[in-house]
Amino acid sequence: MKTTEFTLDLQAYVDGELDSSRRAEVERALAGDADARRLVDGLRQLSELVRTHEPVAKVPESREFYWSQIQKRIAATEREGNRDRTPASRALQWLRWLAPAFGVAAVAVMIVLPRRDGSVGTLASGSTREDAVSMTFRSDADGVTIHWIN
Amino acid sequence: MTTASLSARWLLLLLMVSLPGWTSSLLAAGGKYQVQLVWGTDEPKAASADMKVLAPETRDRLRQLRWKNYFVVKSEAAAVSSKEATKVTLSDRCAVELKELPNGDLEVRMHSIKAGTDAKQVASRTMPIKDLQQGNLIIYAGDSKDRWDDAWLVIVGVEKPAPAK
Repeated sequence: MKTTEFTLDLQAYVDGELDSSRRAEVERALAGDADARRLVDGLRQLSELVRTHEPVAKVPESREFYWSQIQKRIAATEREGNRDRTPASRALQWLRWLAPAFGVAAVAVMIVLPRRDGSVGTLASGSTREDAVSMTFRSDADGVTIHWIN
Repeated sequence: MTTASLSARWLLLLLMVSLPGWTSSLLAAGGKYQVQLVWGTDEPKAASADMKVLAPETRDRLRQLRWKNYFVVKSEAAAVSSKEATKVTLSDRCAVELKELPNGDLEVRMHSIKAGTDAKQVASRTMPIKDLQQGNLIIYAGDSKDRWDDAWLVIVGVEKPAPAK
């Protein structure tokens, strides 16, 4: 171990930064140089000490940062979803809106259509001419029509 | 033309002229209805000695409602015509107006009364008079404002003739 350049080469050797030919030259030199081997052992120990005992400074995770990460993930998922949207999935999305609409229409038809049978009680919502909200219950069996005023 | 046939023709003419008037007066005569203000409660006894237990035949027809007892707070008979509405005041808070409509329905209007203000119509419903004559009842009901968990009912039906003694 004579020169500063050789010392730097040893440091690079310990850090695994030398190309194969240069590494082979250093290993040949190490075989005949006890001081260089001691230096390499010292550098390895130092490197190990630094790697295992150096305190890690952790940046505290703020609330804003936490939520921004969630927002980013949601946005990324939506982008993925839009990319994968096929005509079939678009139809399903329409169906998601149409199904409740059909349900409401069916209930409205049931309320509006005149009753043909006269046997079973029914519960239907009705509105009065004024502002009172009421429910109407008709029981043909009992012959009563009850208008509930809230 | 004999005198008899001439008289018959005059009688027929008189009948034709007077028939519409009789018909309209018959229609205008209208019917008689019974209007009852009823208190629905789980209390075993009426709040006042003036209140009577609701007739069992009517009580049985309220089986869809959940209260155990029904007491008649006020019962009024109302003669109703198609010419004008008949108002029946049931309490200092509510009144109903009954009117027979030209289409053969009875209209029952529910009014809310507040001291110092005009009566306010809160609901209006109709039922064919023939249904009422067959025994159907038209009922308004709501939660009691005075007593938690109780209810009030206004029951309208055709007045039944008093039982023969």
